[in-house]
Amino acid sequence: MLQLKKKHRDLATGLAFISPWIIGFLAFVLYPLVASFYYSFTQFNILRPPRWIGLEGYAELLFEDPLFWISIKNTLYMLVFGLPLSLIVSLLLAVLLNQDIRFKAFFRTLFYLPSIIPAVASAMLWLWIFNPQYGLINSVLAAVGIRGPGWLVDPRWSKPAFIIMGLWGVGGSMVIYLAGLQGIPEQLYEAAEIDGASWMQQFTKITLPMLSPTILFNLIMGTISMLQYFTAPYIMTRGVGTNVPPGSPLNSTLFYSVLLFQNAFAYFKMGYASAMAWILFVLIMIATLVLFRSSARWVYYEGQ
Amino acid sequence: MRRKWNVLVIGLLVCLLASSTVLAKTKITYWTGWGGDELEDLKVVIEDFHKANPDIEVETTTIFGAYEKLLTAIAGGRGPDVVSAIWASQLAGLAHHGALQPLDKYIEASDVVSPDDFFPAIWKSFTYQGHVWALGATTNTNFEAYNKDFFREAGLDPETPPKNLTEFEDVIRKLTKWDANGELTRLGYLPGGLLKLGFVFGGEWLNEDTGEITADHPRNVAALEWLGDFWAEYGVDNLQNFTAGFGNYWSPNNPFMVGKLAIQSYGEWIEQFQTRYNPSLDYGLFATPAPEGGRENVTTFGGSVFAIPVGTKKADAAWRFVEWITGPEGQKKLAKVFVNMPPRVEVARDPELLEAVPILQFGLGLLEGPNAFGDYVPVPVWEQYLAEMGRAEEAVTRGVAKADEALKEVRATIEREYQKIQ
Repeated sequence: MLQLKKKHRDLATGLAFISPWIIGFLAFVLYPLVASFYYSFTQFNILRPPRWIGLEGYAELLFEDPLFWISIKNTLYMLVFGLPLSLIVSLLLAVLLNQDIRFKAFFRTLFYLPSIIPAVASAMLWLWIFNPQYGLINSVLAAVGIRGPGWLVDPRWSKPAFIIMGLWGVGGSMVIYLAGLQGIPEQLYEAAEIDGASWMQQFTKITLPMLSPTILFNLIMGTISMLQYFTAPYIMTRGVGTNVPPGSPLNSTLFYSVLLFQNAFAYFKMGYASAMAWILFVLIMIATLVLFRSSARWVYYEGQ
Repeated sequence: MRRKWNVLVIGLLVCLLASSTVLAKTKITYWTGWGGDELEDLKVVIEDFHKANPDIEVETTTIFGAYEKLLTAIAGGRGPDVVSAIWASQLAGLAHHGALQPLDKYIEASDVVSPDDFFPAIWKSFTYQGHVWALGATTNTNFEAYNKDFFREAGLDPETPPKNLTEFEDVIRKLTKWDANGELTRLGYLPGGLLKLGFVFGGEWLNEDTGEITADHPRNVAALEWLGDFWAEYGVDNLQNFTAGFGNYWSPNNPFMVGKLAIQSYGEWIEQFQTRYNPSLDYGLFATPAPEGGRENVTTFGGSVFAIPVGTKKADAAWRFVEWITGPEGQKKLAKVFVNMPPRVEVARDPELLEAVPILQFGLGLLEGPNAFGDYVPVPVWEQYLAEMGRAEEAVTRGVAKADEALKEVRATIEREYQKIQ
């Protein structure tokens, strides 16, 4: 009896201690989540009470709104071309910086540095780097006799520009790879060396399998953040003309979240934007599940 | 003994007066879209209101750059008592969604505000579906500014700006310069902004009698075709790359101020721009030239307006502030510090003001003419209308869409959106 009382008291104390988190979670995560699910079936402009329209919003997105599919296409482009490239580059960087080279700590800091720069600040910076007339990239190209493209103002080059910019920010996943690399036991390489394995063989037979859980993690996190790609395009893609909404030129950088934001906060179509958010949620869930399922075939966990 | 009584009575009176003014002082919150230096100037003007109205205290907060806040705040019942971080272009939407209180009953009772005091087109911009939703204290007109030195250099008469569209095209060609590699080094003018150009060509964007969206009006199509032809003539890649090198309009790197553009659209603020960024600039003004069958001397005006959101319990005090700041005294003071056009006819014509701010003269002429339009279309889905117009303009100028088809699509989209919220 006494013990039970103590148990209750402990529980109450424990709950009291984590109550800031519980209250925060309920008020700022769970409630908005549930509310947005409800709003996705309504027409809602914040001021008037939401009006139930059932699946109309979803139907309009899927079958009527051309911008929806454009934004899906643009986002998938980044996922298919941008993400693998940045995963490969960050892996190679991590392997390089895991070698015994001089100024190792300095280089690690250097490559990580861009990831701690606020997204808005780096977007402003890259606007100038991509400037067709005065930008760093085109100046370098001009020096070797190449007339650089218009980058962000040219619909053929705007998405590649964002991929290039993304490579600059691979420091975050690089650090995670580095940690993974440190966890690979040295004796595996030693044994391989004694057996006469080449560097390439060691890389493909030891490093990659041992690193596969880390790769899976980076792949999933990268997929999620690519599908939610927002800040840089939102800031960098307002057209030259005054009235062109973000996503220019010619909607070539109209990514999913940019369109979602536009519907929510420029047009105040909150119901519609909520429907978009839930479609995005389902897409992310499917992508994550597929990756997890496939991981059984290529991810190696020690001790399994 | 008597003196003592006097002191006591006076003391009591002072106490009473002081306490009554303290007690009766109504504090109202006011959200403005003006920030930076302009906010400081605004606060000085508001001090004059405080002096004239000791029983009201205006607490000014800027939401510059965070305008989305307003709607969520009003929806949450935490909106301000007065707001001017909104534009006439938004009134249809805000009124339709029920964010604002109509001002009709205050205006009827007011000795200061009467519709006849304002330029008719501007007064109309305060109204939507028969009610007045806001009042303006400032507005802007727009026109073209040209660099006289470049005119001289090109052998053009610096005192004779182009009068019609054909002359304008010719002048733009003469002012444009290319280097030996065929790259643009200076552009005569970069046309853009389909809304105004549609008006200049004689088009309209909404049939106000039937409520019909008329984005694909033949004259709007003609305007967009003209824009497409312009880009085709100068080369899409050339224009894209050259204009991407333009600095921010609102900065010392403004392309007209640094000589990359020979002609550019401006409002009254050109005077401040010149003083700050290029004092030696010798410029002149002219109205956007029209084609045959178009409208002469078109200007579009816009500007923030003062409104009282729903949910405030201090609407009466809020109204007194709105009445004052959009009244003759408030408008004149703001016109001077902001170099803005006053929406009141008498204030705009005030010789003392025109002497102090001579730039107002040009826009005044345009506002007094028959072709002054609001810089928007009075429909609740205006933001989307504007975005779709921008997309159409971009697609046609880059040569990937035809003007009539693009504008038909705009019309279809906006009609659909408009219908949905009815």
